[in-house]
Amino acid sequence: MKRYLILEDGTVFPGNAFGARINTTGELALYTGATGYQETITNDNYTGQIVAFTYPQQGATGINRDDYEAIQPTIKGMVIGENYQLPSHWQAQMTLDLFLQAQRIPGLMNVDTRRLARHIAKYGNMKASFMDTHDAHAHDQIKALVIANNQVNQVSTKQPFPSPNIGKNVVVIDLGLKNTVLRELSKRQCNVTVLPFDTDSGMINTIAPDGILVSNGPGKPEALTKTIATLKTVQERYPIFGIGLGFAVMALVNDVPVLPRKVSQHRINLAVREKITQNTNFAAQNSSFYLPELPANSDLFVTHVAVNHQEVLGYRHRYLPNFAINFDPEAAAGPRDTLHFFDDFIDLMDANISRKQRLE
Amino acid sequence: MSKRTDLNKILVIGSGPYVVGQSTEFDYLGTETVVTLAQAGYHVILVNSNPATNMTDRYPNVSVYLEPITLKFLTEIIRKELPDAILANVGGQTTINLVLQLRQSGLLDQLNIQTIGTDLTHQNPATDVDQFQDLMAQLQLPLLNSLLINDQGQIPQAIERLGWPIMVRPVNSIGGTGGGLAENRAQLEKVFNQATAISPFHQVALSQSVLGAKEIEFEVLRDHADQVAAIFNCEQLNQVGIHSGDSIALAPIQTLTDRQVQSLREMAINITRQLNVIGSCNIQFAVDTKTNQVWILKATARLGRTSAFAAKALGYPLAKVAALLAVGLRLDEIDHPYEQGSTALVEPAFDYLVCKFPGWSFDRVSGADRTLGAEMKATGEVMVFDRNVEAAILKGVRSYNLRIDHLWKAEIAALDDDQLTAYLIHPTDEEIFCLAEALRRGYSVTDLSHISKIDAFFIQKIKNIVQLEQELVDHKAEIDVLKRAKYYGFSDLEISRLWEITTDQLRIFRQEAKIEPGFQEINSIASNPLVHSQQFFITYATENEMTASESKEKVLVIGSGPTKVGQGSEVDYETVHGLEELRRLGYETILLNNNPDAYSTSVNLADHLYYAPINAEAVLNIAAIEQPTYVITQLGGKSASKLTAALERAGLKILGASGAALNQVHEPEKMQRLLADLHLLGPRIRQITEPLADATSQEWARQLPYPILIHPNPEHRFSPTEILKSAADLQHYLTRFNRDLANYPFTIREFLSGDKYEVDGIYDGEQVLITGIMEHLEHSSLHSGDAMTISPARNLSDSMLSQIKQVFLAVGQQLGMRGFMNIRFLVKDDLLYVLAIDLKGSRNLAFINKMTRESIIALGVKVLMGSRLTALGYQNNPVLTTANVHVRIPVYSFTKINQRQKLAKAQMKTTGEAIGSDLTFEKALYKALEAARQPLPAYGRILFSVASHDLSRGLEMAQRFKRLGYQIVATAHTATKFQRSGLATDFVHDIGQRQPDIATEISQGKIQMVINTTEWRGPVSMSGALLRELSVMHNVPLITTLDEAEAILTVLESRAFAIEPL
Repeated sequence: MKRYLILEDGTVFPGNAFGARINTTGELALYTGATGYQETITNDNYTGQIVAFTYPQQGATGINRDDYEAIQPTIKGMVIGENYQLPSHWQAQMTLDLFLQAQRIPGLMNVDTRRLARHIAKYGNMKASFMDTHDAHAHDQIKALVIANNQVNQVSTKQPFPSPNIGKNVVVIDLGLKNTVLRELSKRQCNVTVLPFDTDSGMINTIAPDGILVSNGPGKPEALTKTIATLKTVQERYPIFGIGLGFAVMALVNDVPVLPRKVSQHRINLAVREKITQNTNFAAQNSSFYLPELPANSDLFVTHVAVNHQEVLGYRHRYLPNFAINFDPEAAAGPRDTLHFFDDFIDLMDANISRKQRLE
Repeated sequence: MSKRTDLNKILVIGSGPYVVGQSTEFDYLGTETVVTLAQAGYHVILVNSNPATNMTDRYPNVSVYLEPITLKFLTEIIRKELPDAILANVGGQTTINLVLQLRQSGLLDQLNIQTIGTDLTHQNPATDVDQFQDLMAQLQLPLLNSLLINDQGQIPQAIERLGWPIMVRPVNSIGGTGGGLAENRAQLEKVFNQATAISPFHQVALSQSVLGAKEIEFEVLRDHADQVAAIFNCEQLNQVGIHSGDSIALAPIQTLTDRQVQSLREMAINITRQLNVIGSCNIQFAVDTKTNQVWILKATARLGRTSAFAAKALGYPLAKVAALLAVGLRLDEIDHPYEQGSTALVEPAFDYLVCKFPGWSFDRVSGADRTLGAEMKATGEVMVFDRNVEAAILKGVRSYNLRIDHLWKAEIAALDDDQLTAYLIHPTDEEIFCLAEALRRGYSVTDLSHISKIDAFFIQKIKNIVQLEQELVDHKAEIDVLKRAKYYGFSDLEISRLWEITTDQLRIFRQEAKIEPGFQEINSIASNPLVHSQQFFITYATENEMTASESKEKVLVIGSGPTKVGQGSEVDYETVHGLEELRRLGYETILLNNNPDAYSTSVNLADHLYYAPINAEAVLNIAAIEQPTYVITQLGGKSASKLTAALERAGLKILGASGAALNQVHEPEKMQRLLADLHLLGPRIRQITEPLADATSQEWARQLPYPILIHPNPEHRFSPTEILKSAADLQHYLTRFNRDLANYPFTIREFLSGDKYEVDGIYDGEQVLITGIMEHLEHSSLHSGDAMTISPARNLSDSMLSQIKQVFLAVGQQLGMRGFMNIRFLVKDDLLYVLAIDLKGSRNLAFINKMTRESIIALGVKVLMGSRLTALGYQNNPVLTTANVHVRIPVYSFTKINQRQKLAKAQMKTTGEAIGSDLTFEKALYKALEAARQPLPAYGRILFSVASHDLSRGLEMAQRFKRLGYQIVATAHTATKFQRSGLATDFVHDIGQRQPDIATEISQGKIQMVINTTEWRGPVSMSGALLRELSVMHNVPLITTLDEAEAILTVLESRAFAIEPL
């Protein structure tokens, strides 16, 4: 069935429908990895977004049971070039098409995603809609639509839940948590409690964790006033590790503003340099905000920068055991060169425990 | 940190002549390395005996030694030049073996010469198989379970460790020759015996068989600061077990999950670090299709075939980067080739896919064994880009062999079901055609995947193509179907065939329907799709991204496409020099080419580079958008020249020779008329236009001037020219080709025997400049590329020379052309015959350009663009001269032994050439032989095995060898003849007969040179073929004509002292 992706500036991209045949609207995100579509469409960092894939062929490995990043995907749609309808992989349990149908997510295939990517690169992020027609009426509809600003609210857990283990006591603030983050903590035996984004400090103090991880997630950091307020109160008491949106939130906690990107980055080939060692690694990145540099008088200092563009990718607090990075160390999808940040987090908690013991 | 300043002179060792398995990829890799180092301010000392490569060109800051790559010559050069460092990563396996010897000889330590880049001069895990195995075990990395044995007694132990089936590979054979698969004890013993005989070390590697697994390759870059980038990965369409050089490869990986890709990437990086690579490393994996099991097959810590593929697929100058890493730069200190502000420390994000298509030259060898296996047989490759696999496959199919336009071959369509299945089980180079045919006959994807062990993903893609064929047939003149057919890569030619209209009609229909191609810019940075690389591919799956400039005059140069037997990098050399000169003259340059191994497809060599099949459709598409002022088809070999007429018809302005002129010299009958009109002599020609009942009963056939030369219609198939001696032979020959009527007309030429000359010239409309004359050393050679040549010519009289000039002037004027010409002459009884005329740059130009010390190609380009020779300083039809004597000899490769039917049908092919230059003919010949890795023995035993018509001349030579102190060994009838004539001759049994046979003698080092000539016609005998194989394997010089033997005798006699008793 012929359908259309219509951008808010009126540009039309025709294609063929797959997945659910429903109309949705969301901000368009361009994922540039050649692999990893299952991880990407189930990644809650894309909540409310329509994800387009720049690599022209998708679907060859189907959907398997191991590569979900969330059990219920929250994206608003998937836009691809070729859709390989007959997966040929021993792990495949169903096709991409059936999965999207079951999850009530619309897909559009045979779209010229190169043209789409070039359009976005020229004009910046914009919202888009799936439509059955592309007349003036449809354009007016999409223009009139206001995209909700509460993506984190939609995707964050409503209730605290545990992910028990026998090691460090860790609180995860869920802004759009991926399964792999929990898995990495679990591998390190962390006894995790996942808390909603609007948790108050009382709840955290009740748990009295060894450390807090602020996850990556969708939407704008400024909207997360409650999260920012809570973290402001507790940041002196606990080691904190911020990832992605967590990086932006922790910057705001420390009164450092972040800037929105003209084109948000969803890639698995970001070259990251650690300043102190000059080590470089490749990492996955899902990010709509960036930090060009830190103000001179900030309590934060730069630990990681991008190799190929001017951008702060990691900072640390001068006095507190807090650090944050603007890429995804857990990968999934993407290179796992920077998994060691989870170890760094454990070390940070260890150091804090011994410091506290010394003080006592 | 920046580039090293403690080094001044760097010795770079090239790869020598091309052979199958080590080919023109080193043209790109080597040239870019040398140019990079020189531009970085180092004085480069280059040693490479290959005259056909851009690498051995004259660049500022480079001293080129066009000398043999042997220990002896290297030592001499090193002592003379005293380099500070040595770089060995662009020379392939042979060069690495050699630098290991250099290190062992103590010379590098004595002169304190450092190794830069990856250390390939010491025995370490990067250079030594045993140490690599130990390292992998230590790291607990899953190396394919294997062991080295040299004794049959170790077989039971091996079976226990590996299980069935077992892969057998002789150690250190070229391109894996002599290996095979064994499924039981008896087979294993048989293959083992064959393999030990072929390994120079009599050692055999046995490994667990992972047949059916997917094969994945990674290319990883690493700098001295331990920064790494997994710059490239690709997936082979064919299963493990087919040599990766023989497999269609797609980048990026197509059928694995991200989890799998990442775990392979990690392993690849880990291995690169453990091998301490500074530069590039290639790692091959086998990936199971049913579990998470992965095996490491191989790691190559130097540049190679995949490096060239990676570089061109990404538009990333990988060889340049590797060279800069070797002199101390870090990846993030090197600028990205086209993304401003970015560095070379990147991993790509593809938003297109790239397909590497191997090409074979089986058509050029009669009776070749086309089965594919562990041994590489491909002689070249093309690269295609698109946005779906279907289009990539279809473009690949029509890019290598330009006679093929679609996934369809008459021979395959004619097979019955049983034959077809057999072909699918034992894959040949035509496997992909067989798969398409099977799908047309209704085989299921699952069954075919099961039979062929090719992932169903790819077979489904082929099925999509086949289904679309049917749709096209069912829906003629429907825009929607046409749109999809173009989207999935169908050619205009194929669609017009299915629609039963002409291509011109289709073209008009398509243009009226506004189905026009897009040009996607290749930039491998999906997150920044607006970046300009100035490299494009043609696709119907996205819009046009090319904006043509209007400021300058533009010249479109048609490149030569893939490397083939008879067309190595020497043609690309013309393209490169042409582009450079056009740029100097102020033109904007546009190049169409599709060879990843070519230097011409390097970043920024042309202002705009297009990757597409080299056919009229592609050129017209490019011309429509670029609007070039001129098109040059003279600098891209045969495939470019052939397009001339079609391009002219479409209104393009072609420089050089017109389509009509080309037609006059290529159509045998027109050519004969042309010669007659100009009062020139040529061989008598006759064509057979239709099948004959019986040639022997035809009067004219009996009256032909036997021996004659014959070949089938070259437009239909390339088949080597053969010599026939009688009407019976002719009848036999025609019967062989009768199956296919398209082989008609056959062309018959009188076989003339005499002194042959290949002469190159540049004609400006009034005058000619003779740029080079090469004399053939062999009288009977059929193809010019197979002949040993000497330049300058030795026996050409002044009057003959002036006659030759007159021919050039007359032909040039008659045809109204200008630019490059190549004419082959024969002199017999003081009469000059014209054998062939070509109106393009000949394959000799690269060689000539180097020996004349003037850029002939630049000169020719100036003439093409309108300059007069007089204005360029050449008056009165001059001949360019040279100080030295140059001998060029062909270098042979062998199609490999079939794994299943033991030693059947080996065939020899010329794949490269070597050159020797010195002050005298003898020294030059000596060097050429050394360069071709055929060193002349100073003493020892010479094996004669000559055809019956060579017996008397052979005897005379054997006697001369004997006088020089050599002993003579001979087989069967040769020995009988020699002994009867009183020459002391050792008799040796033919292969496979009683011991000691030739195989044993050669592999035990008891024979130092082989002189082997074969009968004029008919299949090469099994033992004859094996004899050649063995000689090459054991580095025993192999002489295949008595003319060559004669030349060698001259060398040996000239350096021998007369030792006679008083």
